[in-house]
Amino acid sequence: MIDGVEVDGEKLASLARHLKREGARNINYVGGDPTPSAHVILEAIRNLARTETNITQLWNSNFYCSKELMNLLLDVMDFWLPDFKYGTDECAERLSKVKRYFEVVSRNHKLAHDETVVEGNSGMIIRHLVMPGHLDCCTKPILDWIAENTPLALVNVMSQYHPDHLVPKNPEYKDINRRVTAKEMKEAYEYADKLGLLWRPVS
Amino acid sequence: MWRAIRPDSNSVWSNGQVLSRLRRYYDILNDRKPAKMLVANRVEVDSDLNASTDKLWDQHRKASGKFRVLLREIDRGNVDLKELDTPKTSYLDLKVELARRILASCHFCERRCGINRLEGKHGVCQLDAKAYVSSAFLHLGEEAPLVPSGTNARAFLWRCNLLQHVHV
Repeated sequence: MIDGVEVDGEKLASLARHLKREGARNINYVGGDPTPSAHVILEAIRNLARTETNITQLWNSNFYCSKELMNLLLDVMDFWLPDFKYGTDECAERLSKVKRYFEVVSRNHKLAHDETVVEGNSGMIIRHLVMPGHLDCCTKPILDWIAENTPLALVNVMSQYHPDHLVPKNPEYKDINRRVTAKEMKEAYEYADKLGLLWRPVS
Repeated sequence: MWRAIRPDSNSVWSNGQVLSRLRRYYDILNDRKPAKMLVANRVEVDSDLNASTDKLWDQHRKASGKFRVLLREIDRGNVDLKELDTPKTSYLDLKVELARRILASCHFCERRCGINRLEGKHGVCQLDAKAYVSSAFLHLGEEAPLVPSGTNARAFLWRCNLLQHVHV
């Protein structure tokens, strides 16, 4: 059922060195989500450091990770590329089956921002996927939160949502069984502008 | 090649706001600053990695303080990274050991399922201690400052700790 080649830290590091030679600007640890494989990624980072490979380490994640893992990552990640998806725990629990979403994910955004972005040692682009009908509960509260709490982050306001996987089959997800309209995106962009967020160059 | 497909990957740097917020990243790209891991690798910690987990976290806090001072000195040009020795046991060794301990009662993610993935058991993420990579490639679809992005770890079937109904 698992696709792909098993890797240890050394193998992952040698893939990273190969990508650097090919011209990569950064090493983008994505999944699924990189969180459950953090131990192997940290070994790869140690190996890259020992071989003096100078390339940006980038954490591309849903940010539903523990505070302990954040503490291990803060001083080694040069770039944060987290998703901030849901403005309420109700939306997160119904659509992603996860508890305490807002508290956990906002805490991790705040940690990354205050401990590294403010210090000028990491970059940050927050990705927010606009969902159909979720402007008032998700998009606007999240953009408000970003403006207030992580003002130095860039924001990618994303329009790419399309219904897939379980959504078309299950009436429980009827509300998101369509694409986002141009009108909704316009509303999201205008809201981001009103808050003075830096989103245009990365959206 | 990617410059033709994503000309914005270069032109984005003419935006002063973007450049100022991503300044250190830009300097690493141009090899004018070291990635943070290279600095962390120079920070020495107590060599006893068999100490209690509480003790190791205590060490980690101290090492983080040392790291941040060193990083500032290097970024200001007061210290040259290349002239620093690599210690016998580094801040990165400490991180690898702490990650291994987290895995033994897994709380990498906030579900905190507590499974011992080191022993081959599978957490809520459906993973034991093994990691997989299904492709390593230059990704041209990310945000302009990140293109091309070396997604060496894009294992689409790495299990996820968040049930995704939404596929981008």
